[in-house]
Amino acid sequence: MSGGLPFRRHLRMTPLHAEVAVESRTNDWVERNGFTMAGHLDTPETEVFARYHRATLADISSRRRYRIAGREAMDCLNRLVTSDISKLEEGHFSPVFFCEENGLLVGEGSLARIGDTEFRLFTEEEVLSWLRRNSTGFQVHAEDVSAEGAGLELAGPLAEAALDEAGFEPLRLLLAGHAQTRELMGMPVLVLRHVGDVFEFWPEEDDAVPLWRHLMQAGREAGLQAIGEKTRDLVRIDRGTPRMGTDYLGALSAVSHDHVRTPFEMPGEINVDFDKPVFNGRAALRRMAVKSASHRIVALAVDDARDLTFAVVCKGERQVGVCTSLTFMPETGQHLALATVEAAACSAGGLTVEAEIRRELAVWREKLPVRIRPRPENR
Amino acid sequence: MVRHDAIVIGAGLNGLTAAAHLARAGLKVLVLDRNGRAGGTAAMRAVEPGFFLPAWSLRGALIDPATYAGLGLAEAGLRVRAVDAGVSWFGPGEWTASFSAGTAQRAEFARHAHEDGDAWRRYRRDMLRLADVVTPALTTAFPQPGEAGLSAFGRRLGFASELAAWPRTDMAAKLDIWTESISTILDRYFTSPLVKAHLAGAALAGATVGPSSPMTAWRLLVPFLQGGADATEGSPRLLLPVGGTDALVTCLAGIVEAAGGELRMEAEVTDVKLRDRQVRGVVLADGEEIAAPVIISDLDFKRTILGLFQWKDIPGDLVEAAGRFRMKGTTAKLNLALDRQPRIEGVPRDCPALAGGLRLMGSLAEQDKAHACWHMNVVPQNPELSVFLPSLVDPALAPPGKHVMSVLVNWVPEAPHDGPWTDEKKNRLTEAVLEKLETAMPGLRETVRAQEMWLPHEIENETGITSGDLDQGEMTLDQMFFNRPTPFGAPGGGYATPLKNFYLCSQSTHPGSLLPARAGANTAAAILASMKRRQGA
Repeated sequence: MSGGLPFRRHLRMTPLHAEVAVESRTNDWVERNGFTMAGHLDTPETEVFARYHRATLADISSRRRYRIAGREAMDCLNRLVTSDISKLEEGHFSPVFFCEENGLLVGEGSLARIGDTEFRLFTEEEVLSWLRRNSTGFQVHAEDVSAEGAGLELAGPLAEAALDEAGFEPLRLLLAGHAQTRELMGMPVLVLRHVGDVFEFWPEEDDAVPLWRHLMQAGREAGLQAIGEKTRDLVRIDRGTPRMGTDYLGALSAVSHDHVRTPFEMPGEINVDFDKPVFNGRAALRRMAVKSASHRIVALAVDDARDLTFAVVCKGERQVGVCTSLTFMPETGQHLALATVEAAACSAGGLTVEAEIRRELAVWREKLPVRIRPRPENR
Repeated sequence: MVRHDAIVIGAGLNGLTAAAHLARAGLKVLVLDRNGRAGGTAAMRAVEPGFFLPAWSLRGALIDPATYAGLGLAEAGLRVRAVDAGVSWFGPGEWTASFSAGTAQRAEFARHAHEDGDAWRRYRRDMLRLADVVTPALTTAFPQPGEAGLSAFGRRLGFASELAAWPRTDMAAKLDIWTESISTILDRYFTSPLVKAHLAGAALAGATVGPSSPMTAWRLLVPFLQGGADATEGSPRLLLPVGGTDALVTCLAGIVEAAGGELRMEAEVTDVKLRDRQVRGVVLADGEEIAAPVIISDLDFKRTILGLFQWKDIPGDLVEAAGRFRMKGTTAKLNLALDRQPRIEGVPRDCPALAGGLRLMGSLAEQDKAHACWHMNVVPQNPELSVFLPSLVDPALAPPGKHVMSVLVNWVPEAPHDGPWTDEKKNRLTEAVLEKLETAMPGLRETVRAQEMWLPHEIENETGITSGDLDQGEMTLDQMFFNRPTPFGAPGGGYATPLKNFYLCSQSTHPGSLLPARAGANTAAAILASMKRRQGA
């Protein structure tokens, strides 16, 4: 990835940038983690259709990656994350949360065990110096390998078909939660399989372009479509998965205490294992566990297909929350959102959003009813 | 005869800011200054015809937008430029810089130590959290000890409840910033000696302390108080007036005059007339007497009390407090006119942080050594320099292609241990400064068209500021907040004095140099509030 002095280029390009640019009909680019990434490559409708009914390929190289290795890597990591990863077998990965001493989230990500004493951590925020400070005294070494290699995401119901076309049939046998290094076209590639037919490929830098080209070419038959960050965001919001830095802030960077979250305020299963005797933030989390969380991150839907935006969530006249991610789902004509809402206001209905609706140059405000969406089963 | 509602003595930035706020509120204000040009310590001068730069200070005035809110500076024509906050040079290829873009800042520090890129985020977060607490205390009169009244009590209560809401670890951090040294705090975040020296160097320009002196860590906060929080996660930027301080001064003077006020230059006030410990008017050097119900001094605290009054007429403890108030000269100033833009060894010409200045300050140990030498009144042999090129920010300050360079020489004693300053000593210091500049900017000396060096006592002679102290009173904890300039024990937070209707508005008052020109704005607010109270009563 491009080196040089930092002020020369505020945004870097991923190893796949040129390949993605070829696929772009829109020339729409966004910033993510210091990288220039595609926004939409085609119309939103085309991309969304492909993602939900066919297969899509995306550049995900902007995700941060850390290599954590050493004799005591497992012991060290198990003290950092809130769940118990001692049962994490080689060749598997698991979603993890890590907290600071007050039980506030410093980061979240996926932790893959790719060898007996070797791990890969995938996160949104930079956590290296925090990892290093917290691994003092352990025989373990943590390094940032974000600049090495690239990431590709193959997703959608026809993803497996696209793999067949590409001659990667054995990957069909991977189960959700597997993280294994496979040889593809003679290149070593770390492959992660998520729930819902999502495959992540992490090849070395020089191998990224041949792999992308091969998949694109082979997948054409299966209707493989390249997509950008905006559609990936839509899928994330649809699934109700918050993103650090957007829907909440990491405890190491948030200036206001109001914008950091605890694992109890996150949607989905609570990923904290108190059977584990020692881990960061355990005492504080224990105290929190007996109380109910003050806020929750929830997925919202507004059944209204007009061109509108909203941020404030109300109950009656009172503001009870703020929307942090917003997208329009063309297939259902709904506006979908993630919002941080007072926990007490989540239980009963009656929530509204203050929408700003535009038509040509006219702008007006309307209170629109909003539903809290249940979480999909297969996250 | 013209009736004046208020007289401001001294057309420095604080004086002009106070005058502009009062004039906008409808008062007829008269501003008097003994110099031919307004601006005080932030004034500019031409080192050679066509080459303009801040005469005594490094950058002139930084703009704090909130201080000038409501004055209409933009309508008066002032334009502001935000620049990245400077480069520190330690040797060929050894330099680091402050960038306002978060990704650039993290990558820059990570270039020196990988962890430091990440540490920047925590450091910025903690500094902004502290700044959030400190800023409200700067933009108003600080409650005085012993001050009665519900509002002072309320303010203290507000502060206490805020304290109680902090997590325990935060609380410790918030107390540490007032007690620890700069180097202790930096050690908690950063590993690279270059990064630490860079941040310390920015905090120590013009200081009377070194990076290891206790109770100095709060200085690291200053850029975050002045630059404010921007969303980019980088270093706070410097807001500079386009056209330099002169542009700001012209706009403020224009606002005063447009509102019916008046500025009189070369009008030195020698006396303030008192009756029953209440001020009545001023006497000029030529004997002219001008009466006004309110008088505001933008002269430093010492000069105001000891120089404008007959000591027998004012309370003894006021004279004593002014005598005790510490003012120390710490900086000499070298102004250069250059034939071309200097090339800095190893630093690319297009580095945006250069617009914020260049520091040749050495490591933390060297900074400590320089401070120790100053403490013993030794003239520095390896001077620690803060450099700024005003013509990089605004090319109109020098003829096309030419440049001006403003060099602040830090830790220069007011009176050397081996006897008073002589021409020979001054020349030796100038030589040492040029020598050091030459190491970072080879070939610089050949491009110097004109130069002038000002020592602390010469700055005093020119500006009238005691000891040539640009902070107008040492900025140490015992001379800050309610202690600046001294606890008068009355409402008015150090702006109102025991002499009725006599106010102080210079940097000798709260918040001093923490926020430029804020003291002037606060004084105006205090005066207007007391007038409103009296009208209500």
